[in-house]
Amino acid sequence: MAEPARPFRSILIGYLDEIRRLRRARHTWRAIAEHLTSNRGVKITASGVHIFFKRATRRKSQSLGFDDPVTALPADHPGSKPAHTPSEDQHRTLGNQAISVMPINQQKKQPWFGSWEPEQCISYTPKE
Amino acid sequence: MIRRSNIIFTQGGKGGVGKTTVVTALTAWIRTKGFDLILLDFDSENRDKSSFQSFYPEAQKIDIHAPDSLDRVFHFLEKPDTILIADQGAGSGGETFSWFDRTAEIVREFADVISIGIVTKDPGSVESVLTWAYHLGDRVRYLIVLNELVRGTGFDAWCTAPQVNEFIAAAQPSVIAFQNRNPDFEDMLRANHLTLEKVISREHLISWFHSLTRIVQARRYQQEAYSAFESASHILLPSDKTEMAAV
Repeated sequence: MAEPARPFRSILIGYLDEIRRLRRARHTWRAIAEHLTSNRGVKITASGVHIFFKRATRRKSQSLGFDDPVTALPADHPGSKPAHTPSEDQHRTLGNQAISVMPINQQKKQPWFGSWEPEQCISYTPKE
Repeated sequence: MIRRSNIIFTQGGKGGVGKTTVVTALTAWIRTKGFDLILLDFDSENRDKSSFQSFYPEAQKIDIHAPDSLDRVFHFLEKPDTILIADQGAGSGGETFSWFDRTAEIVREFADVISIGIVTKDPGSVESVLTWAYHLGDRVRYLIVLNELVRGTGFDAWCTAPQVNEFIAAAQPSVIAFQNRNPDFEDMLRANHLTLEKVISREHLISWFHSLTRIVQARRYQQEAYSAFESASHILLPSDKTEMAAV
């Protein structure tokens, strides 16, 4: 009997965090696609990255009755614990991502000349 | 077809570097070219002596910290081919950066924006210029004025900091120099709200400036400033670039 086909898994799944980081840094889809092609060897179009990212980050709707494990707990099973609480869900979803409380359109700017940032002093040679 | 307007503003970073001195001289020079100017004074903390408005009473004082104050710029740009000069006070960065982030794309459609950074021997002035450049990015053109307040003090930080080289490589700023400025002379100009033009034409009652030596000094300063601005006229005066009138 033939083995059932494995569900499709995008080659970009391993680069999800990297794509997210680049988007937060305000890079365009085209720039990200070029970055993946030239630096990661993944040949992909800008729209391909966009579609993947949109799908990968879309919040999946849960099955009926699974939306809130706490309230879904049957009343006649007071001793049983829910599988997980909403806050645990959130942690599980976000994994180890760096979480920022800043809206993405107000996050720190990327340096456009060199790597100097305003918090740093400049280095120079005073003449005698 | 219309000519584009120019918005020229001083970077309101480090205080005491000569922002108002430069912008006052620039105003006089642009007027010699026959352009109508709109003058705005955003230095809200400097209400009396040495503010832009004290040299040019027609300059409109605007409190940059008031809501939507910078949006008033659009009102003045109704007429094309306008040159708007704005002098910013020290510490106006936050408001300007935020406003520019919101409006840069809109402004770009009909005006070129020129940001004037003033550098002295103080490394802080260089850090200030770089900070403004960091926030404004490549959305403006830069004019850097090396303002030598005292003869021979040099610009070590500007000339040797690698971060400056990176900025120059990326932004291609126009760099001009004001050399050998006499602080006493400048202080007297500020204290008496006098421009070089008024000293030269003797349109004042301040006897200290009536001596021939000081009139000659004023003329020398004026010539030096005009010559420097002339070398940067390609960014200071409205370009010949034409735009299709808005449909």
